[in-house]
Amino acid sequence: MSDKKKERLLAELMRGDVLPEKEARVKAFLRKKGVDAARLAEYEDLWKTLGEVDVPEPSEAMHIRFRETLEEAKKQTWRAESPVPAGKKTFFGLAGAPQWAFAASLVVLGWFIGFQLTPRPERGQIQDLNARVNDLKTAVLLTKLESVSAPERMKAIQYAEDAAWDDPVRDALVQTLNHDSNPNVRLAAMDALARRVDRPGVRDALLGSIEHQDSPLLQLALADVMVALDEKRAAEPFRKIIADPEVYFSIRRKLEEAVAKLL
Amino acid sequence: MSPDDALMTEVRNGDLDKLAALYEKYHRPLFAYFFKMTSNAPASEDLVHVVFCKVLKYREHFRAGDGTFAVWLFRIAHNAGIDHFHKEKPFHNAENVEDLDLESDADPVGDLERKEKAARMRRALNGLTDVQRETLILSRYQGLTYEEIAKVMKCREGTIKARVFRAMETLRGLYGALEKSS
Repeated sequence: MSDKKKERLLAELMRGDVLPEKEARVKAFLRKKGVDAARLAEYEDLWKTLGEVDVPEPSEAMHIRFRETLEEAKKQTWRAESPVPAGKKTFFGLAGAPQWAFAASLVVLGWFIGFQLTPRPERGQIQDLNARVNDLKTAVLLTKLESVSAPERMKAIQYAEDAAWDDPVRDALVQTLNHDSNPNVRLAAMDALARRVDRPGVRDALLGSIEHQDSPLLQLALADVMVALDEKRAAEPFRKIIADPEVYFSIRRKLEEAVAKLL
Repeated sequence: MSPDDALMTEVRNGDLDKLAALYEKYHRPLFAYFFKMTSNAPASEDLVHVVFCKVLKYREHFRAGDGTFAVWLFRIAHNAGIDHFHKEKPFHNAENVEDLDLESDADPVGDLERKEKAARMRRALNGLTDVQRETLILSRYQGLTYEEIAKVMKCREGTIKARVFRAMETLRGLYGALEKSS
């Protein structure tokens, strides 16, 4: 029992876990157990020498390997979070009970509005009905983009593929691209915008978002988009990122390649 | 919740970028832990990589309430080390640690003396059993409490303290013998 106590107290003394006011008492106990001042000094010296064992610096290759693994994991997560698998695509690209309930309510609402507009569905009335349904879809999209759940926001972005493309939708996606807390959601917003790059304001919005991105995943994805669009104005914001000393080596190298292609 | 636990919780919730901050903080302590266990820099780099791959793979298992991130991380490192030991015995065969080009002081005499002592200590450390060496390394270098080390090595706190004492006893003998022979 007392040997165990001796071992415990010595281990605590080595690490400095013994309170200063108790140290003298602990040392007196250890002396009684055969650990005299010279032996204690020997332990302390050993403990100190242990702290002087040097370790070389790990190589840059280890850091690059980690960053590449992280980037790959992020891509896999993004793919996994892509909300609706091709085989399960449903009405408006949505799946699940709440979405079905919403879809059903749209049908009922459409029928009700249609009923109000009968007896003869004239061309203008049908267009009006379509516009109302589109407004409703846009409103739902914008609401879902405000959701606290990242998967819900991802679904909203996919929903944008089917929604009528207008300025509020574009602005909501740009806002998401620039400010969403989740990089996978930002990446999805970038993809959605990149598919509508022919629409007014989208190209400039993508260009402007480069300076907002601190995630290497987004920086590289935007570099790919800018190169595909041959958007030479992107060279400047990418140069600013490259000049940042904290940018990872592998990211810097890829951005430099993108800038070289743009010029 | 500690800042590290908060970061790892964000990683668990899908913000993988936060792992870069944890890597920045922990890659060196992990590398040092493996290097002191193996005296092999390339193997230690591989093991650090294995640990972070496992952190990514098992991120959903992290629970901040179950202990600190450091404990969880070193528990993964401990298991990665055990796997490595089983595959790679004998463990200390990779390179002559005395040949390593480590940082030097401005004082060449003091530097030489310090290097000699450190080299002796490395050799003495290699004379300990794997369990003794690991317990001592976790106790001396990684800033973990004995209670946390007990969680990492899945044993009781009293067992850790007894191991530290016995490791110090063995080390005293080995180091003393090396000192006399030099």
